[in-house]
Amino acid sequence: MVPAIDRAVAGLGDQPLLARLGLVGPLGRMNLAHMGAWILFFGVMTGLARTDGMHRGDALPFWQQACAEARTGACERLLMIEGAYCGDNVGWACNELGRHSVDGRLVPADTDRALAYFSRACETRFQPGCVNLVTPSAPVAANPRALDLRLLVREGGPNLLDMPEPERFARACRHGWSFACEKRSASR
Amino acid sequence: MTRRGVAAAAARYLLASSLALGGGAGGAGAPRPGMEAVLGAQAPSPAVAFPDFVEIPGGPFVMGADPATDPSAFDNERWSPAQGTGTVEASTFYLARHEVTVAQFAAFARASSWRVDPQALAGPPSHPVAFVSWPDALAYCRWLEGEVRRAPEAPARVKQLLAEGWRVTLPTEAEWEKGARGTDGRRYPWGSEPRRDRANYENRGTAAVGTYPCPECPYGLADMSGNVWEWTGSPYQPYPYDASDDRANLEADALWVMRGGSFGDQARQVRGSTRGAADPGARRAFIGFRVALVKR
Repeated sequence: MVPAIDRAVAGLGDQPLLARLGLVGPLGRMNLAHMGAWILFFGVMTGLARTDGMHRGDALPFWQQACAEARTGACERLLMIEGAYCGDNVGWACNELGRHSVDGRLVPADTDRALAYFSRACETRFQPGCVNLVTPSAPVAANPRALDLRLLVREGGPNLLDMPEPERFARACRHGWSFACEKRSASR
Repeated sequence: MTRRGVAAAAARYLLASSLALGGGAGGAGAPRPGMEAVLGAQAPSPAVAFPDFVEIPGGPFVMGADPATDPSAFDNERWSPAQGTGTVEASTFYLARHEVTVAQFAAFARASSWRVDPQALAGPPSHPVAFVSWPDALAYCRWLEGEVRRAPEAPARVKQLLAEGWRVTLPTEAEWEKGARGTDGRRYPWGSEPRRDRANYENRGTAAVGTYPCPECPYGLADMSGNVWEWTGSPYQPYPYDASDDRANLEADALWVMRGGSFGDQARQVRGSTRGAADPGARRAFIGFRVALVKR
């Protein structure tokens, strides 16, 4: 989308109307035209409530897969996203970070750090986090809870506490969470 | 309501009920000298940094209570639809004679970077620590184990057990119940009837640990009834008890067992088989813990 808008603005340079308006010619005026195009674009998108939405960069399963395939920067991005969600008390994300700190593949192995993440997961009532506090050397995992999904699939919008669980699972399914597809099917 | 839902509702009831009461104080007395195997370096004293571990010999004991024959029992204490109580085999372990005190927890807070609720350190030093979450309790256990390994003045026998693979941790709810009731299935640590001179309950606040003498208690442990609820290392699951299912039900919301009732509870809640449970992140004025030395 960004290159397309840039090309469109550049292509307007020889339009007689824009020339008459003084928006073409010197470099500064071209920049002004660019800014105007972007302001107009975001104004329209905001008016239509379309500034947020599902895109692949939002989806945790996408980054998990990319990291597993050793794609450039994918693991760093995965850790960053999980860190942000853990900070928002998504127990699942804290437990994942704890597991990374135990296995030492994405971050250096650090038992104290792992225990801190498991504690945080446990205090959000994410049961694997509690179990892992007892036996941190063999950490267990589980799928995100419906409570965690309220943030994990919000797509930049508000917390989804009011969204019925079947809808939350349907959205999580679209994000690539296979367990959510099964739950959605089971609830039909 | 699902089976787990019923259990959770029962647990919430127990939590709520522990806030409900007030009343007069019970009797007081000095801590009972130990007649049993004790691993602490010093004579029983709640203020020492290292706990005074009491040996609970291995063997079977009666766990649970049957509401059909014991009107004070809660439904979640019944072993199974077909059986009122169960028999559980426990290996030898050690249980601290006293609940962890404010002074002991303060030593941990000073020595570690663990963030604790300031209210946990606000009580009198010899009273049981409260306002501790379940992860706080486990963090204390890990720290204490490290201290025992490091400190030259730590009891030699405990050091030796740690070197042999034992761990300082929270007791399971089975271990806790055996420590409280012994092997004969008694309702209270001292016998079958409630006694306000034996435990701090139906009261207004905590008492210094070991304040209530209990010469009849099976292993000489103090405050196994009342004072504060004690976190255990067991997730809340319906009976029959099975330690091997602790890693089951990972998708359910966490709820961990606490035992013993508190100063604010009625006699029914401070029985040896009463099962409470709470959100592991709960930090409350009536929840504390004691430590165990176990091999697992």
